[in-house]
Amino acid sequence: MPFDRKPKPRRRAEPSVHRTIGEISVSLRSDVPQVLDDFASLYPAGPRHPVAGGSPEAAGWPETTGTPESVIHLEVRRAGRSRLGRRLARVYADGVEVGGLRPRNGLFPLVEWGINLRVIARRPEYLQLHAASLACGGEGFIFAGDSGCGKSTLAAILMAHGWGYLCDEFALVDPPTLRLHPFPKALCIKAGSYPLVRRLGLRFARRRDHLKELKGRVGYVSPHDFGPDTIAPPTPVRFILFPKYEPGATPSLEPISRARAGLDLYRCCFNRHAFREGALPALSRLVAQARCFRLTVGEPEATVRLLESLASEPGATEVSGSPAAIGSPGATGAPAAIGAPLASASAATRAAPPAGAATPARAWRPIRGAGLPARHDPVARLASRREMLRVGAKFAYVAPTVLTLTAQQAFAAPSAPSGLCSTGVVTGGLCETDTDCCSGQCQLGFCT
Amino acid sequence: MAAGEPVRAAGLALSVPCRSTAESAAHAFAAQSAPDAALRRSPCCTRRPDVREYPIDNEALIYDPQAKVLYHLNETACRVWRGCDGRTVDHLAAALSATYDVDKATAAGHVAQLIGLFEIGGLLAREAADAL
Repeated sequence: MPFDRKPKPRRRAEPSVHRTIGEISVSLRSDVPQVLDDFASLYPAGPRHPVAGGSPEAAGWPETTGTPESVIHLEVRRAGRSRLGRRLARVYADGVEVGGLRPRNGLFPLVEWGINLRVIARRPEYLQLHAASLACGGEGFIFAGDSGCGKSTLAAILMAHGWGYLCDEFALVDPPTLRLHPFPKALCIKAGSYPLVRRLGLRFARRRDHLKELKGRVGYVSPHDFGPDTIAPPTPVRFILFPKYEPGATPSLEPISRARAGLDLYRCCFNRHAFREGALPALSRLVAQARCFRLTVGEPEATVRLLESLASEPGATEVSGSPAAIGSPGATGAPAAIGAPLASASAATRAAPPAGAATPARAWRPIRGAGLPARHDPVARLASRREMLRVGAKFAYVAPTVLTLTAQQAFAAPSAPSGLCSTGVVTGGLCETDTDCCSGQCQLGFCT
Repeated sequence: MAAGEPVRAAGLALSVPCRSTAESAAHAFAAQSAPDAALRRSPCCTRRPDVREYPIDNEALIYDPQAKVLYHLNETACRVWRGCDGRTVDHLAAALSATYDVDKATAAGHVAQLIGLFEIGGLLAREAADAL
């Protein structure tokens, strides 16, 4: 008899969840239990304190910690079904819709993106770079690049080898101190890296994958699964790297000039519109205290060995001078970019040390007058340059080059646009246009 | 920068070979772009005063606040940029030739090319650009 059957117990979902991610508190309210469960499983419960100067409980929000600026309110609301019968929902970040209608397996990536958007808007005091940030032996590493260059996977690999975690999406740099601050979000791993992540012994939250725009299927790994002391404290930046994954390639590091790194970092800066020109002095100081490389990511173990050798090499904390090239011999017999033959004779010219020099690699080298001391600090370098001019020596000539970055180019990587919507009318949460074109219309707080 | 890597400037894509990698190619490049005598001797360029320069090591970033464009100048371009205070192409080329292992004709070609890029980017003062 159907009427005798006991009613199936309905799952009683927690209506809201509060979690702390670094310095950011997030309250998520949802009538879709799956989203709450995903969120709760990825981030540990934090302390619950009343919001300063407010009564969120009156509005139905759970108690939160921190100042109002650091609390993000997210909401996921059901929104009917699609024509095919799929259940849909919408995501709101601080009352503003993020993205459009999404099926259930596409909701959590949008929640994560909503957190990103609000952090960008709420924490303008930080220089926010689109980069993974990690720490090794107290040295901060920035791995900057567009979406899809392998930041998160590289972060997972390094964390599995004991590196400290700051974030896989943001490098939050405090301009006065130039320290990286932790924002330990869950690592977002694309389906192509699932086997690698499983080989590292990591598990995806609730063994579930999600559908993310542009990236396809993704899974999330909690940084707290790596161990209790995974999250690094604020760390000074010592290395800035621009990774690129090449399957089967030998991992290598190619030194680049600090100015070029500054240009590329400016391109990766989420909130440079808020800093206006103020971002450039901060970026200049940031690159001036770091060593900058292009990183070819290949086999994971070899990549980790390469980066750990970089972090532990003497002079790793050196704050000025051109990046030293170390590793295997290059085509000219001079030290080459780490782990790889020299890419070009031009690079050889720039990386080759003067004969007899103790420290290799300067941006220039003497053609004549070999044997003069090579030093890294700029004052000594200028002195030796004057000395060389006095004896009539000249330097290797590199034709003048200009590289530009326009507002249109920024955030418009051809393969994977990763920019922020600039108009407040969010189209899928992503937009190829630059925030500079916003002209104050944005309701999400991107504009100043 | 790797030899032959395209140099993008305000919509232009130029391939600037390096002498260290292709000396003959550089000579050919210089021959193609060698400025005429009148241009070489005329006071060519003055930087726009509102363009900000951020020196980093021997290179620099320069920012055009009007166009919101950021430029990265390598060491040589940086020297030319700093020399854009009313000097002639000849003067700038001579300075480069005195410092670097490059002949004056090649340097003059590169300087003229570079100043052309500055002009296209609108980085030079108006009267100086008109003089070009």
